[in-house]
Amino acid sequence: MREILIEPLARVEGDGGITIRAEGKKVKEVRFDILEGTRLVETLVVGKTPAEDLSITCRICAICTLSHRYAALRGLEKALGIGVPPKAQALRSLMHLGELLESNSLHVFLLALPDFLGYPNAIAMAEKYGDDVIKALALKKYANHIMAVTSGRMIHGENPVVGGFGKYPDRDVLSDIKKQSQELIPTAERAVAILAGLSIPDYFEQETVFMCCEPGDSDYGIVGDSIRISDGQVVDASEYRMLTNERFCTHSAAKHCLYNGKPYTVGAIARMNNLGERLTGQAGKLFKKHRNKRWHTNPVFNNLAQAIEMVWALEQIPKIVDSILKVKNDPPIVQPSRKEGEGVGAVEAPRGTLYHYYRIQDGLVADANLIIPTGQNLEDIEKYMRKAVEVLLSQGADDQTIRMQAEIIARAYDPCISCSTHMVRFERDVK
Amino acid sequence: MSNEATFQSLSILLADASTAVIGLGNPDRSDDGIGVEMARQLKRRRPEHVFFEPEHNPEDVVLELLETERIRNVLFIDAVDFGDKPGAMKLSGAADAKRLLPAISTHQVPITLLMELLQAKGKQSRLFGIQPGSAALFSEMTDSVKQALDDFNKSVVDKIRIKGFS
Repeated sequence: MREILIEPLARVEGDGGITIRAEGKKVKEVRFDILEGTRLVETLVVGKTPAEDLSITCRICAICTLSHRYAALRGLEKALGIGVPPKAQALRSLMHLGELLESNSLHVFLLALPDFLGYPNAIAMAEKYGDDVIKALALKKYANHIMAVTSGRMIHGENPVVGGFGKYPDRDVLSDIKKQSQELIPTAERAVAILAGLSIPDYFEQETVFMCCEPGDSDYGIVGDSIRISDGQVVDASEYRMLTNERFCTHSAAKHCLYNGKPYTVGAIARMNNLGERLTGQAGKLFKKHRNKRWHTNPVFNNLAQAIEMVWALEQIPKIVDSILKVKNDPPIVQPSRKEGEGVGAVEAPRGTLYHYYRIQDGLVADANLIIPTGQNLEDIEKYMRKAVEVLLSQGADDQTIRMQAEIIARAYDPCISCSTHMVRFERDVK
Repeated sequence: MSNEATFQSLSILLADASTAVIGLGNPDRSDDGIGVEMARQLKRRRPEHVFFEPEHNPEDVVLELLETERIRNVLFIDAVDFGDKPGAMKLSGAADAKRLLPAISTHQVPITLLMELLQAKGKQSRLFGIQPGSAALFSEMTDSVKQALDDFNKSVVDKIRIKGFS
């Protein structure tokens, strides 16, 4: 058995690796290893108040902090019988778009693009693409600003609370956010143009299932109480266990998920495949121009989906800001109507559908279950890598080529290992 | 380079009003916060163009500095594992810094990328690295790194005389 390790896997969030074992041209094993230890968050929050839960669960990850907070809010508020007013809902939407823009811009420009432009990393890419990198950082800075303004600070902000917000941003700050969004659309369009011009390898293509939140009202969106599946079903989010079927895996500190016994994909490409026809404006034009049937069989198009999603987010922001500004008075925080109940909050984190389930008893968290996007993608990441390795081995590819292609597939999923609480080892037997 | 020579170079760099400083690290993680603490101490004597985490996001600061004509040099201060004894200090140019720092940082934009962008815009950058002894969460700085901070304060911060500030 020959073994080649990729450890750590670069340009992903957290510590993970890839293990590939082969005997001659036969693949024995392809694993996406999660190397970070489990953090037992679901147990930590038992016995805590909903407010404490919010402050703990958002710390699962510094990148997806607001998605965790938002999913927790939605789950807790359902359990406690709280409905938030439209102004609070709109500010949450703005907050959520800020995080999506921050995460997508970092991934597209700095983590994914170097693979395709032939650079080892963004630092090497900066010499030729310096202006694009600076524009990407400006977009990221803008997104950081939205997150700070809405949540109270850039990371782990405490301003979004159960029942609303502690404080609403000043009107002039919001107006400036609206103005800047228009100025940044060309940067997101530039990302689309670069990615759309790339040659995407096709030898690992195969069908899969896509899942995302169903936002309702025939809109594109990143939140919803039900889940749309690419097989045509729409399932209430409260059925999340049936959809995800989490299970332990010996090589991973993160649990793996299967739908009807099969791998599936969540994230920007799932949202685009399931909801993209609903896009309007410039994002709609770009979707219609660039989307093709390969998007259903090739996860590397996730990078382009993320870029189009940035255009969409920037086009949404002015509408959301207007809806916040039209309500002059800041609504008070809505108090719980009960001390017991159950609720599932589902949101689209940048990397896909995130579920927070809570059972509240006597006003305290009695049970919690968090299902993370990267955990849901792990089986598909391994499935696509395995196919790629099979084909490459049959073509007599060298180890470096195999490693590179496996990394490209893993990175296209933009895995958030801290959230999933694991990388590629390559082992090959040469006899 | 001896500590005396390093302090001498830092003093010259920091006496120049065209130098900006960015302190990096996490003060909740023992010696990892040394860059932030040194920048804080510097700001007492040299308030302009001194930034530190978490109040300031490094890439956001660099974006502004790229557009600030007056700034020609940027000094990054950070805990850097260069394999020496805890508290050891090293002042490096951008090329050496690229060898010392990881190319990829998963949670933020890599500092070496920011150095590359500064260089592309004609600005010089340096890295002042302090060898950490520990990065344990919610732990105090180790004695060796505290000593490095004291030495930095006495030899650089307390003697600072800035030319060019109004």
